[in-house]
Amino acid sequence: MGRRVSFVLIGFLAVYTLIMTFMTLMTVQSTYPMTELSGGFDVELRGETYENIALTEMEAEGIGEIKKGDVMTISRILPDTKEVPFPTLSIKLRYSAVEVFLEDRPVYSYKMKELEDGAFIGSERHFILLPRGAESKKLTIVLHITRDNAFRYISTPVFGDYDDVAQSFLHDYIFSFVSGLYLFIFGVLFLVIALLFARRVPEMRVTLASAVLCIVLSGWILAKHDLLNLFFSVGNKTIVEYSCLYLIPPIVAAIVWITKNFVSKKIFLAYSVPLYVVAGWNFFGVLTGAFEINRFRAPFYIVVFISIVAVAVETVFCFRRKLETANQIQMISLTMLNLFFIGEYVLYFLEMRYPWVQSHLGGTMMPAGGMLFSLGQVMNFFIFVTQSYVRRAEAASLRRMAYEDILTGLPNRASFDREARQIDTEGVRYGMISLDLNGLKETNDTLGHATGDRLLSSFGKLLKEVFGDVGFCARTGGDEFVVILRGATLSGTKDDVERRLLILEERLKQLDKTDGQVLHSAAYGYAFSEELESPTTHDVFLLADSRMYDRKRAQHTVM
Amino acid sequence: MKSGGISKYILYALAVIVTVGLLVVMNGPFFRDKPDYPIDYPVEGWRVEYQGQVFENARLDETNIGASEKGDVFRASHALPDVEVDSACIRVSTVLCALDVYVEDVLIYSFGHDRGAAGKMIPTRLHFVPLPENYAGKQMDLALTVYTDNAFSGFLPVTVGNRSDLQVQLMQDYRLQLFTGIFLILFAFILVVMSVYLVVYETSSARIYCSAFLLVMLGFYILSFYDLVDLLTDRPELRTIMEYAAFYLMPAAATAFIATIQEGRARRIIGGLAVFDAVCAIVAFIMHALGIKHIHEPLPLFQILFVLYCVPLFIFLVYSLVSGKKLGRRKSDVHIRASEMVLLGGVSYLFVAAIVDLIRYSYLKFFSRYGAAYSDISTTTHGALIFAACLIVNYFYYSIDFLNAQVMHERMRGLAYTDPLTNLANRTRCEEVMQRLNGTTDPYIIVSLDVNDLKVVNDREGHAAGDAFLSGFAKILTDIFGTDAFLIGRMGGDEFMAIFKETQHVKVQSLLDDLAARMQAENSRGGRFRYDAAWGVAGSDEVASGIASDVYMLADSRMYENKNARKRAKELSRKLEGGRHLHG
Repeated sequence: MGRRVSFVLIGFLAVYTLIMTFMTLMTVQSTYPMTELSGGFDVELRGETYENIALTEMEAEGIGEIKKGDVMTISRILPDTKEVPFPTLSIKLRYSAVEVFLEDRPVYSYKMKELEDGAFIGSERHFILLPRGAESKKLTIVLHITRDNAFRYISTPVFGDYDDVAQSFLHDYIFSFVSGLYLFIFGVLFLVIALLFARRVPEMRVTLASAVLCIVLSGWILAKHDLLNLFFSVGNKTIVEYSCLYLIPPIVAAIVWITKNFVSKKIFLAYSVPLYVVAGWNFFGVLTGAFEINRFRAPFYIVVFISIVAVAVETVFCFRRKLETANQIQMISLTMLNLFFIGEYVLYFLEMRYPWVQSHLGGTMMPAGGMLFSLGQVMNFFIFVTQSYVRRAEAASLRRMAYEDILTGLPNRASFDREARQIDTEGVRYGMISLDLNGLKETNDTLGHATGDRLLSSFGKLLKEVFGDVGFCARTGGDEFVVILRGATLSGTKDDVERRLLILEERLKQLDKTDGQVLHSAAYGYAFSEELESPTTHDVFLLADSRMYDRKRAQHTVM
Repeated sequence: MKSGGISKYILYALAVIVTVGLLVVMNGPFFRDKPDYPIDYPVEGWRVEYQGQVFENARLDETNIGASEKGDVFRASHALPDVEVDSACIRVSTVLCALDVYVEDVLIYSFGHDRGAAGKMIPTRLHFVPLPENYAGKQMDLALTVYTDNAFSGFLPVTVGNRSDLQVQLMQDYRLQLFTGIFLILFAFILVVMSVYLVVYETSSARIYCSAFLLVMLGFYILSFYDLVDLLTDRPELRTIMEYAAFYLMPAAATAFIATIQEGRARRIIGGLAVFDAVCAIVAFIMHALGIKHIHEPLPLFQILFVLYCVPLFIFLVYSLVSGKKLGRRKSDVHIRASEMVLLGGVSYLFVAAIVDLIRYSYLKFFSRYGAAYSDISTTTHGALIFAACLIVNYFYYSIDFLNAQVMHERMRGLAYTDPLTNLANRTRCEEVMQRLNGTTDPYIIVSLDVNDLKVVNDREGHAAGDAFLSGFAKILTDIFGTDAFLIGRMGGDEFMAIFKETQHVKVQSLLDDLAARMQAENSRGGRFRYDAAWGVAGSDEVASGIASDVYMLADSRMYENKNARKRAKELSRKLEGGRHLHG
């Protein structure tokens, strides 16, 4: 337990160190003046003009609810700074088609065609390149709103040189950037490896699901923070973002399912199936165009919140039920991921309500959760998957040992008992041969146990060679062997048995020649189930055994 | 879980699809933004001037200049495109030179002279040179000034277009490299964190740290090579250090890693190579820090070193792969062999990839018109990913093997020495203990016991009953002897023994009396079995040889005497009692 706790602590420390290292190492300084445009905007909406406001304070300034079809115009004089080579405005806008003018000259447009077609327009971060000399000129942004309540405020835009603005943005989200990239490749690598090993090592099925989860997580992290379209031109980044988001809780549930870490199946299904339903419903909406992908977020949040609480509770129970360490680590990873998920949304909602809350922390919540999850997977993979695999192999070999006589390799007495029970239940006809190896004790005493072992194993091998194809040969005691002949009949099999016993005798004599140290001889007796009236295997065995003793006594008198 | 019938071939196919899919999607034309404006790639029609020579109408990529000297200025001129785009810029990369850009002989951009003149190293940099308005069709001149010898070997591609277009194009063209580089570095970090716990399991920590080191170097190198570090940080020095550190330390990292797979002499030799290169690299860095020599100046030396290391190591790798020798510690370990094979395969692929890139670089530098500036390391990037995958698989197998060994060890200790039926020591253990007692001066007493009528029970009630009979007897023995005996064991069949570290026969005798009394009590209680045993006692002082098994033999023979005496006594009493069966 202490080990686990300290590992979690080390994990946190490591991730924290990573974040700090990145923050400090990858510092950026702007080469040119860069300004946050926190105020001084004129906003015009539905005939009303609001002067000199900050875009983050729209609600406070009395700008009412935004409706679909509205056209909002935002304008401002750009700062009178030193001229920068590539003047750029960075601004994040939601659910709007955009036109930008500099001194009434159009400089930028976004999704105006989609506006005409009525297609879904999501949120996007725009890096609007302006012509040289844009400083102290009038900038006008026209927003064609495509959704009711599209936004309550606009986060503070930034104006400066392209390089500076882009780098500053990237730096603000460096952790999301780096972890998103990492999780993607990590997910793909582990997915490939899991696919290659899943059949042979069933424990890897969890790895499969976790790998897919990492890929989906990376998609969400990159899309949510407007990093995805730096690398991949996707038609609608918001669709990607929400698709990944809706997939995350179902995959988490799948992992809990695969590892059987739930307390009650019914309860588990109760909080997990809705996740799939919600995801399916939303995908249905997107594919058929019936509604936008993030129209029904409330049901999603409710269902997810319930499942997060449930998973956290399952985690606690994991410890209570003293499940294997691997399962505990898995559940802790998932719960931490969930907690950071909640953290991300808490911050997001806080920011919505109180725009002054720095959203930079929000950029680290989910990535941290993702990194910790990935760490948990690696740990699970290396240590516990392998442990479990080894243990299963070990159990198989132990089971083999329980039913196998080590010395001769024949089934042992436990095996014999099992076979006999089986025959009694089936009620088939059978025959039994009881064999007793002569002189084992004497050999052990005079020539030592090693020689005795050799005698035993060569006899065992011989028995298997002679009877192996027709009978179940077992070593049932120190010098005692039994052969069960399934389906044997008095009329049909007896001659064959006699023949084989003769062969056995011959081979034993041969062994005398090759291994002259020891005398190889055995006494045997056989009986068939047909000879007795409704016998048990024990009865038949006793009959065979007594015949064996008869023969043994006869051998002794000869000797 | 064996059922659930997805054939493993389907899974393999999926694995291949995912791998190929990843490479195709990342490298291919999918998910790429179309540029908003036309992009121009002026390759032909340049006027190039250097070292007193003038070349008209040349190809920019065919200017393989060879050695440059301090103070040289290389000029390239071309007309700007006729069609003007918004926020236009020239994108060009320079390595270790100062750059001046003119449009119609007016200087519009300058970089690096301050550092160069001060004797400092001018870092590699990707420039986006803003173009003035109305530039269409005008002439652009690029002048590169060299401040140290051997700093220049060709002009890098020049692109003209919209600033945003060019940035996006860069990011999207090299996205696989960016993803891979960052993944490698972070994964190395994760491995180091994991090493805390893997060390607990006593897997070789050297190997983990060396693999993390190699991964980091690969990541640094990939990121720097493609100018991707500039995305993350503003400090060009950081980027240069990354690039050169990666290149100079790469041989050390690779050889150190390979050394951790080897044993004995090979390990020492290869490890020595690693240390040598590391020391050279550290010296180069110190000299740079002290301002004696810039970090790029020993580059040719390190390139030679790289080749010198590559070739023998590669031969060694191939030999190991082909012969399968020198792998693992125990020949019987199938898992180790498979895992080392996978790892060697991964490292070999990486080597092949690196060598391919190296050959391309050298060919371009020495043999082609194009110059080394046009080399790329895309093969190494793939190689790095595959290597990371092989590393993961190797750890997987390695852990299995380690855990196997651990489990086997425990099993040996447990099962090999315990009789499964009675939980007493088995014959092997008894003999081992006796052997350890040989020649010891401490006195000991051995008792050999034989419980009667096992065969009768087996015959009458079956072997399961016989087992219960024996384990019942064993329990009685443990109860009576338990704390006093040094060892209680089952020698086989119905034979038991106990060793007492005891001088006094009296003590042992009283225990044996207790045993007899206990059996009597059990029998009269009417339990399932009737117990009757014979025994013999011998002390270490009675045997001259000092060999414990002789003491045991003596005890054993006394046991037989006892057994026979009791049998005779029973038969006598039976006769006297007139044929009444005492064996129930």
